[in-house]
Amino acid sequence: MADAFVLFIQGFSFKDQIENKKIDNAMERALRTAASGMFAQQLNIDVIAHNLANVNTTSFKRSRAEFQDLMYQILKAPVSANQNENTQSPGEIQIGTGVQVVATLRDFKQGDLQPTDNPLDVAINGDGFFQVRKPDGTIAYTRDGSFKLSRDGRLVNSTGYILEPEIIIPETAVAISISRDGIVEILNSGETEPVEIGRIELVKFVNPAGLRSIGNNLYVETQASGQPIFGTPGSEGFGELMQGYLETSNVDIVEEMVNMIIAQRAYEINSKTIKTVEEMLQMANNLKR
Amino acid sequence: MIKGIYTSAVGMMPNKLKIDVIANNLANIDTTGFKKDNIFVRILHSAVLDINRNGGNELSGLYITEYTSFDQGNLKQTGNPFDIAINGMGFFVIQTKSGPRYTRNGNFTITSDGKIVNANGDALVGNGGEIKLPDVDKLKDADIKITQKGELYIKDKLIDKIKIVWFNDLSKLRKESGTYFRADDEAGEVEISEGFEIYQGFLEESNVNAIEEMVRMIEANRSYESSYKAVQHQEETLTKANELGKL
Repeated sequence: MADAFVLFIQGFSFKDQIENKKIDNAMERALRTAASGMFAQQLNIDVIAHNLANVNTTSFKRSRAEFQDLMYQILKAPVSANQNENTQSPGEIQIGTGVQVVATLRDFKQGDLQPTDNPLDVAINGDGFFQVRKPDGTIAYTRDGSFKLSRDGRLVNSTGYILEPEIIIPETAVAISISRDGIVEILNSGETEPVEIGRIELVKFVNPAGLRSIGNNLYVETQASGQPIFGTPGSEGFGELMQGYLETSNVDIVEEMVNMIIAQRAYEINSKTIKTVEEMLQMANNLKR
Repeated sequence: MIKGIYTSAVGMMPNKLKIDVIANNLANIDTTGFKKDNIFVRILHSAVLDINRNGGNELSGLYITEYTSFDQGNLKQTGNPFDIAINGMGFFVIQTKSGPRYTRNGNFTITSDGKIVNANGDALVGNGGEIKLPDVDKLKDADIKITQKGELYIKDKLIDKIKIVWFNDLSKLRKESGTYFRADDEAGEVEISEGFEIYQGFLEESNVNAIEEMVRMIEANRSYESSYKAVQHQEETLTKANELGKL
């Protein structure tokens, strides 16, 4: 009798309970749903915090968390044994079980170009990435064009990774010029004609959002990003190089702050659900004194 | 008298289900393309009638229906060329491993073979099947134009038209994880060419309204509480009745 009563309160006949194994933990469902909401919003705040922390990082690209609903439990509504024309058979009831973060999508929107007057600062105006060789020999991709000179005159990024294809600047150079289409020319001391010493090549990806960030403003290719497509700066589909400029972070503080407020409120509202369910569970417990 | 306890207890149950649904709505307040659900308790008193009719021996349940509100969500500008939102009627058609699914979530990216896919990796369907963009390696974001009718142009050349469908009976749609809807034959799928506008660079936000959900949550909570009080009250009365027999 007691069992039947509990089942009844949950809204299911004993037959339903046996036939439909999906009906379980009915009391905690809302709790878990709300907890999934809080967890997702926490991840959302993590992403926003990372964006805000990188508001001054050269060529940083903001991410956004992408949410999707979780699976739905199908509860068969209990149907009366003696239905008549006044009582219709209700359709099935679907109860959602919460939310999940499915992806953090990187937004490769162009950042502003900021003049620096440093001849080794190169920004990409448009699509494309520089290639740098990591110490392990693999190639990483970056839009951070704040290059430096290594001891042996090679162009390297701030981490010391060598730009590919290699550009070596001889000690005799007094001026260096990088054209919009990537031709690097130097002027040797005592000469009047500049000499071409190399060309900067860019790569792009069909789906840059699929690239994986590995820190230090670097990305590596994944199956989702596809193979790199090589090209000359300024050619079809590729951006132009801007010497003496750096690309700023594309994080918009106002937008992130608004997103943060929304995430915080969403977190709060899910905690309200938990509080409400807790009150109800308490009442259910008190039914038997 | 015992029937009275059942009647009151029955009043607690749909409110629990309501809270489940509200919890899911609130958890998805930030989910692109999410459509909120609502629970209706249609004929609460019929449960009581059934108890009476069956002499209280056989318990029957409640008449509860759940429906999804297809109200328009706000459009949020993102600037991403593959974020597309529908304003008005319509669903995108997505080819998944388990057949076509329908969604209002227009958050897409492009794969290296030119398909337009969502976060689950499933491809968007156009009038000629899965949409495939040519020469993706030469493609610039700015070249891609999607008109309000859903025609997809690359550099003024028509590639495909995004298939937009609607259903004669929306109540036959079933929700699935991933902001998908599943339809059976009864739903009556129809391809539509008007009644909507497609906005490129926008996403449709969840249509959950926090205030409305909070009000419904308070309502369900209080209604649960009153049923609970009624059970308690009747239990006290029964206790009194039992004491009557004592000398």
